[in-house]
Formats: sequence, structure tokens, C-alpha cells
Amino acid sequence: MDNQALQKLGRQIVLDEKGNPEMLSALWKDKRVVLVFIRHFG
Amino acid sequence: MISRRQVADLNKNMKAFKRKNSQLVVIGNGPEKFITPFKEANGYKGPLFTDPSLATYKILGFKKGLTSVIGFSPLKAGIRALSTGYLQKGIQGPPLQQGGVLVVGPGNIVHYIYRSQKAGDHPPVEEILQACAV
Repeated sequence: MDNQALQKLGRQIVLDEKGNPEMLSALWKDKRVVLVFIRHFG
Repeated sequence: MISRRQVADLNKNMKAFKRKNSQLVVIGNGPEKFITPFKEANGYKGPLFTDPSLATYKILGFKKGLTSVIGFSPLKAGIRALSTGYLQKGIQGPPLQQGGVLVVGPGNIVHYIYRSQKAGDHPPVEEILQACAV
């Protein structure tokens, strides 16, 4: 994926179990992360 | 059941990811109220977020459609998950959406991307661990 797409991805907001928002890029700002996108909670 | 099995498999390798200074983060797409029951069902203690808008899945180009969930290999993966005790108890999220894996960081550097082609299509954990090697 190109850098523009990655930056757009990083700006997306995800929610934790309490509904608190987290900007995706905050997860990989200081460390390497393995993001596993699952199909569904089931 | 396939997602549950996938998370349980990754859970077993949590320490291996830590040894590589990498953090495992699971992203789902159902309502956030299903995060806690999903974590409890899998014994997963790591971070788990949800993107009900599916915007992240779209940006990453993950597949969506009927052909990705029907056919022999999704059926085989389903039977494998079921036979090892991962009983699906209802789907929370769009059933036609596929997922994938992204290894990224620190900073905006992508090390690995895997887009699942069908239900039950996941990259080998060893392959992901290799992408975590510094």
C-alpha cells in the first residue's frame, strides 16, 4: 500500500469496548504492531 | 468460528510477538458491546478495537462479497474450526466482509500486508513473525 493510503488509514478512528475512540496511527507511532483485521465477532 | 479460531491461534503466539518487540492488536467490525464477550470467549487479553464503519477495511482493500465466503475451502476451514471446538454463536458484523493482517511501525512504515481471499484464509503465524523481525 502506498504512503498516502497508509496516512489515510492512520487517520481512521476505531473504538474500544467502552466506545472510546482511538486514532489508528497512535497504535504504531512508537512501536511495531501486528494489526489483525477479523471478519466478525463470532 | 473461523475468526474465533484465528484469534485463539494468534493468542498462543502473543509472547513470540512480544519477543520481537511487536504488539498484537485485533480489529473487528461489529458493535463495541460485543468486544468483551468475544475476548472472554477466546481468552484473548490483548487490545481489541472495532471499526463498524468498515472504513479501514475499505482503505486496505480487503475483499467483500459472496464468492469469498462460499466454496470448498471456507467450508473446510469452518469444519476444521468446528472440530477443534470453535463453535460459532452468531455473527456480529457483516458476514461477507473479509479481513487480513497489516504489520506496521514504528511510524508510517508498512512491513507486511495480507488480504484474505476467502473465509478461513489466514497467513501462517511464522510469516507474520518474520515481518516483525527487526
